[in-house]
Amino acid sequence: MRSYEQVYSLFWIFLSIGICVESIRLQIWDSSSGPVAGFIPFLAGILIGISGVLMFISGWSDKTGKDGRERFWPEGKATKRIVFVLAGLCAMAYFMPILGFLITSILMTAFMLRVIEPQKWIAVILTSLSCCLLVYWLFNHFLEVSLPKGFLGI
Amino acid sequence: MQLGFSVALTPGNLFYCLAGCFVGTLIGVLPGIGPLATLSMLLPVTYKLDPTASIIMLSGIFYGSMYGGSTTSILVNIPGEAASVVTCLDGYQMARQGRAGKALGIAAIGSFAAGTISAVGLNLLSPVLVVAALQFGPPEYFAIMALGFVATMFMVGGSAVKALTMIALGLFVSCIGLDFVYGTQRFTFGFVNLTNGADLVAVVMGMFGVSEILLNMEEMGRREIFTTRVKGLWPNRKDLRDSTLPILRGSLMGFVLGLLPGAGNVTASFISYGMERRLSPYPEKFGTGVIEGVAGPESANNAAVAGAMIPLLSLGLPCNPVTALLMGALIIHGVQPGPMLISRHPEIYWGVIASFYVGNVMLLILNMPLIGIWVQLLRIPYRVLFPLILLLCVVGTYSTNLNVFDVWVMIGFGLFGYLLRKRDYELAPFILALVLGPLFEQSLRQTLILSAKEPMIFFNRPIAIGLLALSLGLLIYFVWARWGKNRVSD
Repeated sequence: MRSYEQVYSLFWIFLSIGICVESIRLQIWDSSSGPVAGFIPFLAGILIGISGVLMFISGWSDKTGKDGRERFWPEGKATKRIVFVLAGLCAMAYFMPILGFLITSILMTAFMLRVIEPQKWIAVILTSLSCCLLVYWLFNHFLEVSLPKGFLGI
Repeated sequence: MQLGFSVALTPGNLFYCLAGCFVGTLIGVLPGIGPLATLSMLLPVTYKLDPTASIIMLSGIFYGSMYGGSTTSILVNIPGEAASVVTCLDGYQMARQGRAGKALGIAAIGSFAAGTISAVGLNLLSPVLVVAALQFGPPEYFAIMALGFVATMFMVGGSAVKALTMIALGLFVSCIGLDFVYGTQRFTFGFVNLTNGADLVAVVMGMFGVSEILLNMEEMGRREIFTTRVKGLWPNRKDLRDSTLPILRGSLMGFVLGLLPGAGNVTASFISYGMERRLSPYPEKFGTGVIEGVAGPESANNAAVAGAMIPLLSLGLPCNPVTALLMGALIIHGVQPGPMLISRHPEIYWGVIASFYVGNVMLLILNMPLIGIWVQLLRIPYRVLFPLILLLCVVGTYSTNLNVFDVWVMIGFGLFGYLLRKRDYELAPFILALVLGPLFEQSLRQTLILSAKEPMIFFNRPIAIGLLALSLGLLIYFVWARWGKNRVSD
């Protein structure tokens, strides 16, 4: 594989094949009513496939090879930060129905403040408590949005 | 219009207009959060408001962010939002020469002038287009959306092939859920939560909010905040003389580009900058702190906002992702934007137009005397800001349908958006296609049903065939122009 561009283009080509196969299964054209459920997805799949092939070819003919030598993932610390943010979000989505919005959001905010760019505990506690309580009050009480309640009832 | 001002000037609507302008300026000033993500986050806030107040507030956020975006571009060399990227070139150089106040001042004055000129344009042109829009049927809607996709492909900048991929991907994602004619489940993979499709707010929040934070995680710690003491906001006579024509040109051009599907404020600011450089007697000085390089683009990106409201209000067609969300907000309130809006809901139609005049005055007040406060905001470290943005993304996404599944959708699209942005894929065409997708499919299928599957129906409709011919012409022109450019560079 010469470049990241080609990795992406292969992804588009495989996605296109998947979309087209499923669209054909859904039926593209009906002799009595014209285009049916699979028509637009099939069209989209074809366009994605064409783009993928064009990008693959252009990646192959790229004589500079510059793109191939580029670093895709950032240096170690930055990658860690990205993983922590995603992990924090996933944990929040998973635990929100169990622990409730308020507790989960305080824990998530504190985690982000403490782990991503470590700050003093007092700043972490004060910032996460004040921000989360404010958001909770705004959405739950002022806007009357029913936020998830955990086993503690909050 | 009298009705409009009587609506826009009620204490409640004045408050929501001010709130919108304030939040818009705030998110414009703060890098890392754009108007699209903010509108998505605040959409649930409008559920309790009446539709006029909601749209007045959300529009205020949109044009307020255009005002605020210039502050970070000028002071920190980081665009507050995409339309202010080009302001960095000369604005930051002016700040380095100790002329930050002048740059901020001309940005605010240009934005005010452009906002007002384009509000007049919106006021005059929109009712005319409503009359024309009554002639529109499914073939015309299909043709105008096809034109929008073609224009988007070439106007977003960067690779047209990547833009095509994004449009096709947006069309595909818009098809997820039940088929609107037969009720067939499409690409739901057995998830009941996907029956109604991928939620727009969750997708936008992921693609623009979460992916932006993930990208910023790469740069954290490297960002330098340069906040000098800002003084002398009022430009001198020479600055005003040099800026008058760029402001007028930027306003007119931005307004016209705002009208076009797919063009929008980012394109307007770049084209304005290029135009000013071409027309300038000293083009070589652009990029070294020339005031025209700030006045033109800042006017253009503001004018494009009111321009983009015209197709939304009169045709019911969003030209960019932000107006798509505004359309979503109207629909949530049971109001269908389009040619019938002016007769069925005149208070919304005229109220929103009048709020553009009011909002521009508010923004001038917020941006000129209060600039010091916005500058202070830049001192908030990003490490404190991003958990709060993430929290608002989660709660904003959840509140739309009260469903945790949407939060997972947001995370998924956040990661996907991050990976796409790393390889310079523009996300705006994706969102535009995602929003227009259902209407595009509906128009095409209705057209073919109307004509008993006969595609020749387009040739019997002069507006539709005209728009399709324009799309084809644009496609040929852009492909030819790019091919020619590549040959020259080879």
